[in-house]
Amino acid sequence: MNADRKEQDQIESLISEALGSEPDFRLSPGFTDRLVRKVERHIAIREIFTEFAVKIVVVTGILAILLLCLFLPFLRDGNPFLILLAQNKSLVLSVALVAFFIFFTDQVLLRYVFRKQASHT
Amino acid sequence: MEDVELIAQVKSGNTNAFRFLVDKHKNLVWHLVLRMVSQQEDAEDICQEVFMRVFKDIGKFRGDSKLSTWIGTITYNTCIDHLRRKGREKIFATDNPEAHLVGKISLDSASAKVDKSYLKGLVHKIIDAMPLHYRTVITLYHLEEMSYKEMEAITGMPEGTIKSYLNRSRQMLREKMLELVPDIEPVLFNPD
Repeated sequence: MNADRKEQDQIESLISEALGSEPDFRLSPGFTDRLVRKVERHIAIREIFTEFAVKIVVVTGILAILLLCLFLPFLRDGNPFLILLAQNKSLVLSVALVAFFIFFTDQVLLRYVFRKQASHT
Repeated sequence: MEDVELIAQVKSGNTNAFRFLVDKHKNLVWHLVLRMVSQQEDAEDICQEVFMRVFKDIGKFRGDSKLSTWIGTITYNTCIDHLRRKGREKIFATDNPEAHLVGKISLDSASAKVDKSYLKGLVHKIIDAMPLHYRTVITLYHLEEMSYKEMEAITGMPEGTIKSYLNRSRQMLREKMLELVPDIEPVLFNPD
């Protein structure tokens, strides 16, 4: 009876010892560095997109105010400039899309690529 | 550095503070992921995913619990998501935990010397063959020395269930060891 109890205690202490010991496998040594680089890239992308969004809001805001200024004096008779724009709306839309793409490439894509290159060197 | 200050620094985008946070908590994450996922090749990617989630969601941390408990919760949920995606394991199948162990533990060759380190290795093998929730509570309790309350916050399981899992897992370990190594007595009482 006493021997059984002693054996149980020994098993218990061995289990506790085994459970409290760290696993044989370890994280690779550069884990933290790789993770921090990933986070830095994430922060950079977030910054680039935030700046781009702010610039888009500012540019479209200015354009909207300009259009409003052009439109308001001719509220009754209609503004010939706006009529011209409305008549060529597909052309206007294409120009706006091209301008947006150039702006996006310059402000987001190129900046991201240059930052990535700089972080590799 | 205190947790509150560390969180404020990480929120403001300080990557050195984030590095400090990772170094402080990576063992907790690694141990839990390794035990829950049981696949070393996936484990490191999951650890990265956990810390990326920590970084993205740090603004949502309200300070109701310890930072380690919050990170533990993210780790637990990320592992559950991973296991669900892989569909490798029945996550909540715990009705008959003993059945999980049948035929899953292979002993080393008969010529291997049975000593205490061999028995410790055997303990780890038995744990790896246990159902997910048993391995999880064992790791949190014994390796990370967490309280029942912290474990409750991490796993979402009631305290009574956690205690029951812990007792049953120890019982399973005892029984399985005696079954696999019937002549265990001389090894246990050997001083080295």
